[in-house]
Amino acid sequence: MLQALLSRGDRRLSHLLELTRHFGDSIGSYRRAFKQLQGQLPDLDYYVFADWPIDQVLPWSHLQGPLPQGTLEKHLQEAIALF
Amino acid sequence: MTFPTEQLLFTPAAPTSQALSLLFAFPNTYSVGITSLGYQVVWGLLQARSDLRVSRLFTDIHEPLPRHPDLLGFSLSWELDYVNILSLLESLEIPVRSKDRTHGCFPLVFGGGPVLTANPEPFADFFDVILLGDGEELLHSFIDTVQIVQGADRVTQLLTLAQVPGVYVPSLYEVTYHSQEGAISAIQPITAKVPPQVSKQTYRGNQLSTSTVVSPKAAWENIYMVEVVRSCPEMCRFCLASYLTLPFRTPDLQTSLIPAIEQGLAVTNRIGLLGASVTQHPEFDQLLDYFTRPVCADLRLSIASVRTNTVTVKLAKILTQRGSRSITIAIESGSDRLRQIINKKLENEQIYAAASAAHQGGLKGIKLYGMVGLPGETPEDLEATLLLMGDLKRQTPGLRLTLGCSTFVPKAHTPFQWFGVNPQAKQTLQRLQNRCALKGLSIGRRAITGRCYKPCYQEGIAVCHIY
Ligand code: SF4
Repeated sequence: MLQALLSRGDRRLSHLLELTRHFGDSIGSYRRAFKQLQGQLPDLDYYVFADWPIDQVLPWSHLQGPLPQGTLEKHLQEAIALF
Repeated sequence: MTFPTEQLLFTPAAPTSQALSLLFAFPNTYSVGITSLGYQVVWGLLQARSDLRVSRLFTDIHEPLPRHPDLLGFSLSWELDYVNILSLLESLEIPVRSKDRTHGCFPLVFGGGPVLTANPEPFADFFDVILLGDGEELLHSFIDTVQIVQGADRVTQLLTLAQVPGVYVPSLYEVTYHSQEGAISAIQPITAKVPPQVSKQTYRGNQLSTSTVVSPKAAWENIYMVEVVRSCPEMCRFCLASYLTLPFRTPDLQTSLIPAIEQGLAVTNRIGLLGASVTQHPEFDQLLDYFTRPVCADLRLSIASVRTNTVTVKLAKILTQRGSRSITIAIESGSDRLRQIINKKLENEQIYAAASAAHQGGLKGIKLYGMVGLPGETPEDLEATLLLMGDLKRQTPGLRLTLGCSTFVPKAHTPFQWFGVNPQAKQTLQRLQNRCALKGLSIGRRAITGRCYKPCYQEGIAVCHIY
């Protein structure tokens, strides 16, 4: 879960990361930090569990990976077609 | 603790009197850091430059530290190590946030590695500069530019560095949100002088990474690592190790790989073959022949990852002879349908064949890696995995079977980046565990702490890719 939080996180998490450091590295301490920062950033569910709409600006959208986003979307649609 | 006796495989340059001092840190212990091929290779690249005076820093040990380093670099292989980055900054009395380092004589803090290349954003405020992609060429253009702007004020330095392809300066980009608790509305450079997009760098030379140092205190004692392939052509939809590092690259066997291995054999008898999908090297069979020669008799060979349909009796035999007891393959699921969804081109027949080949070749066990919570997964898919395990047990009696399972985690730059973690995944994993136990099958969670030699996976990238 922490892995998912960090892999889809944005800059607003930096404050959370500074906080949790002093709370310990359990999932409980992350929940506590989210509570403390309530109102300043989305909740844990948004980062970890929510499916994001395709047209949402990704936190890494200004960083170009090997494939254009269009190709990734195509691969995603191919997968969904088999659901 | 003092530095153990290391065997270097390159000649460090003697720093000139003008050399900049650079602290090169790995945010974990020496043993973990020195087992990261990425860290080793970048350290080698830096040490080979006479315009730098490099000291290494780990959480438990360090070389003599300069009082005021000009540069401080971090190699981040494992996301949760960010905690140690913050602690190291504090212990060096350097403000953790980039914006608090613009005044005063603080070093330029840069970072790289797979985690920061995939999605640096949660950590972006802690770094002045982040290097995206392969380090081989990028690192040199970065240091060359640092040399040019040395002495300029921090703002000028950062603006100039941001012009170098692959050099990302987070503070020069502004992120705006629909609301405090909402999604991002835009990410834009703060001035027209900065490129709106930063491209991850791809190295295209024939030579991939090899160990620059062999250490008795490495997590795998005295291991010499050779990167056999970079990336993976399979493109399983969730896989960072494939998507982030495309294209698939394979160095030539005779002119590149074998000379690299010989260099290692001169100093140790333990060789690790690394890469997201090692057995897919087009000349892998000849590479095996090379290791089968009698002169390699007392060699210990480890292979990072094996694709299921490339497990042959020949491979199993050589692994058995060279010190391995089991082999690990990633099957993800026992369901053909689910594997189609994730684009894993593998059929159950091939899994049976792999287990049988492993057994015939003399291996004692086979470990299968699976994933739960994959997008599109249904309860039937789990049944299929259980069925497969039961059948495997019947078909290859005497072979120890282990199923290692993890939950699906979305990764940036993959087609599954838009999917969240399945909230049921934890319970599903538990259910699978219980059912396996009932059937007398052993199941373990995929260990996420061991960083090396993860087969075929996102985690495998930690040691396989440099910067
Ligand atoms: S999961 Fe394995 S086979 Fe699939 S793309 Fe990743 S490295 Fe390749």
